[in-house]
Amino acid sequence: MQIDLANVTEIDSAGLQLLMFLKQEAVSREIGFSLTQHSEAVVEVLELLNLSKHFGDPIVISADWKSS
Amino acid sequence: MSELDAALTVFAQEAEELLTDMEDALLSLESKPDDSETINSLFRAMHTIKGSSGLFGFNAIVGFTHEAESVLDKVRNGERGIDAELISVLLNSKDHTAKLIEHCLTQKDAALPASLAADGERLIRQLTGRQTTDMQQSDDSAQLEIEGGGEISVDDNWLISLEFQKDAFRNGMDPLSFIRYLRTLGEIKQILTVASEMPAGDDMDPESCYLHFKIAFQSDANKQTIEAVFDFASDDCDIKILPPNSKLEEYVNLLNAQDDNHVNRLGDMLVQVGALTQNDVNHALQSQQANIDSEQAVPGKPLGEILVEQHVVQQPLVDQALKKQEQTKQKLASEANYIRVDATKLGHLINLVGELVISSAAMTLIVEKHGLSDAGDVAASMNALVSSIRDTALELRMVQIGETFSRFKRVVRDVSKELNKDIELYISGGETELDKTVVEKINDPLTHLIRNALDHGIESPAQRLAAGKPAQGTVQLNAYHESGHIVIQIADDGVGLNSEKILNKALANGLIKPDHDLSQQEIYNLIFAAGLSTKDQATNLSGRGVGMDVVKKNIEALRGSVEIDSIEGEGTTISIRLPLTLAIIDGFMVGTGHDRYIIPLSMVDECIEMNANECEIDDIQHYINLRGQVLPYLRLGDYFHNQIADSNRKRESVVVVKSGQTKAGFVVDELHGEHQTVIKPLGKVFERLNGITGATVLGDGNVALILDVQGLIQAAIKNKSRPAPFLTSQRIQ
Repeated sequence: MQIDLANVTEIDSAGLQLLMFLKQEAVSREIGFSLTQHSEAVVEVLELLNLSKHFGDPIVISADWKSS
Repeated sequence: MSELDAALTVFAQEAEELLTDMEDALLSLESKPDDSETINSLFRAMHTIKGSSGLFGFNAIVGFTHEAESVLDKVRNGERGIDAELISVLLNSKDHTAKLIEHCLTQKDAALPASLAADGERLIRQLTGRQTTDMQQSDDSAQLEIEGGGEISVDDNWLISLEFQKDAFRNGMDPLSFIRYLRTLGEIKQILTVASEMPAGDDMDPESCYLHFKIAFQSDANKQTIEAVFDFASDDCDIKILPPNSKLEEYVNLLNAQDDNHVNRLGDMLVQVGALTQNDVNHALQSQQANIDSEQAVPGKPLGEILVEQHVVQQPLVDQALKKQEQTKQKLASEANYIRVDATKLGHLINLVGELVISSAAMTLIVEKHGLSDAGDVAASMNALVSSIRDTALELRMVQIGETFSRFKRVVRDVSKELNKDIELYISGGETELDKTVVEKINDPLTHLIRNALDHGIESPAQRLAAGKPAQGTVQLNAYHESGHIVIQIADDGVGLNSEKILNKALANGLIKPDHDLSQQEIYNLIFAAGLSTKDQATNLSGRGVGMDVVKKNIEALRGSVEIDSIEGEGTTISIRLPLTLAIIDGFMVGTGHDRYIIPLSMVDECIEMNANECEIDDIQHYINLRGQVLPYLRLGDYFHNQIADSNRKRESVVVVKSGQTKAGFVVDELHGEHQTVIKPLGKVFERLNGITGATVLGDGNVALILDVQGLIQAAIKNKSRPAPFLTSQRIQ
């Protein structure tokens, strides 16, 4: 399963929790799970909460982003 | 020279107090050997006596107390354990010190008598003899136990733990926004996001919040500021903020610098230095309360422990705060906030207040007489002031009875050893206050009664076991207030009184005649008669049949009374009732003919009309029917021999008075109402009058007599039909 996050303009704690839940479910059912195309908003939250490692997916930082 | 004498007096007084404290401390150590505060106070007592003795050059005292002090110092430092043996040696040392002081004060320059010196040496040997046996030292290496941070480093960072509750999202909280806001205060060094409680599969509710955060945060902000970040979330989130270790030192310094003029509560101290916020403390107090509520048998955990458990403060900080608190307590204890006042000055003040009460009553009278309505308000407010001054002045003389009580610990301990009995003294109500003069005078009677309980009351351990009682006997000392009186109870669980034995003795001694029909109570009261002892063999403690009558006399001299209650085989309870004060009382004024009498207000139960239709007066037996109860009555006019023509008897009232369990009615012509009564003792000539304990001066200059209610009740009960002129004696003699 792959989730494309390219069009996420805003994400709150609930949304993040949902992502964590999906990851947890996928791991327990041994389904491949990855996040791709992180948008700026997603990366900001993942960085803030130190969760990039938790998901472990490569993040591509685009040059257009303001800064994070 | 006189200055030196004055200094010596102070020294003697101080030493006596210290030694008394020391004795208390030693006795309490018997039950609580690890109480460091008590050991400290022991050390201080010896240390202070040594110091002041040195000032006066009492080398004998210095030499001895020095040894005791060094031993106590070792105990204090944990180098030596304290056991029953050491306590007993220390008690002897305390007595020895007292003897030394007495010797030095009375015969300053004389050499120490050989016996005293020998005693001293023996005690020193006992004190220092075995001191290496009990090397017991707890491992004091301060362990810093800080968990809860997981892998997060703690050194310079605040540790913030946020456990959001399930409803956080539904209540519109977004944890992210708090964390973002937190960043404005400092730097988030590390953050751990955990969702360990998130259920799997369908149980997961996306609207519930399962997120927990642990944050290592570096900031110069104080705890309040950081906590304020999460203020908004405090209802939906368990917030714990642990200060960084580097802050500890700062807090400790602040703690040390705290004002030590009054003892603060632990929580307050930590809040003041900023290590805790009020929220933390409230939270901890709540859970403490919850603990107490839920598990009643187990005493609640100390606040400090809870705070550490909740990870809002580090252990060393709590320790430091507790230490500081202890120090403050000690400092306050040592410089106790008392002023020594000459007792005669105080007595003079109370006399003056008494006069003030009288003259304020006089003023009220005049104001009423002349109908000065505008002066009335002023007079009323002055009256209120005067009565509060009166109460305060009387309170000055009030002391707690606890000190007197605790002296008996030693008596019980020594006597029970001497008698080979195992007896424990329980004290309650030590905080009950009463007049200092009363306290001083009650000491002897109490000692006597307690010795009696120990000697006659409690059986030997073997006898007790045979009777199915625990080997250890108990004596209870209890004090409490009851309607303007203080009641002191001495209760033992010993053999109780054998009424038959008492009766036989009394018959043999000719105290009573065989045809007397006595109630159980009256039989018990016989033991207060002179020359009666049921003990077949007199010991050096008691049993000679003198004493109980003295006890009774002493207590009656204080306008008090004694009651005895006993169940054979189960024990005896002696209750002493004493007036709270000897100077001023609230009285109830009545009149017969032209005379006025004061009845202590606390003993007045009610007033009713002496109405033949309702009361069914039995004029011959002198009884009336008070709502079905038989109430003996006494015509005060007849009793005191000032009958006025019978025409005055048309409107009579009965004042129902109560003393302990007994009631009686006094028949009077007029009721005048409440009156602040300053008790003036009667002169020697009138001392032996029955029925009267004192007199007072009324506002208009007249004299009113204060009635001895107890005596009059007895008179009412016993002399039903014969109005006796100043009854000669109610005592059984």
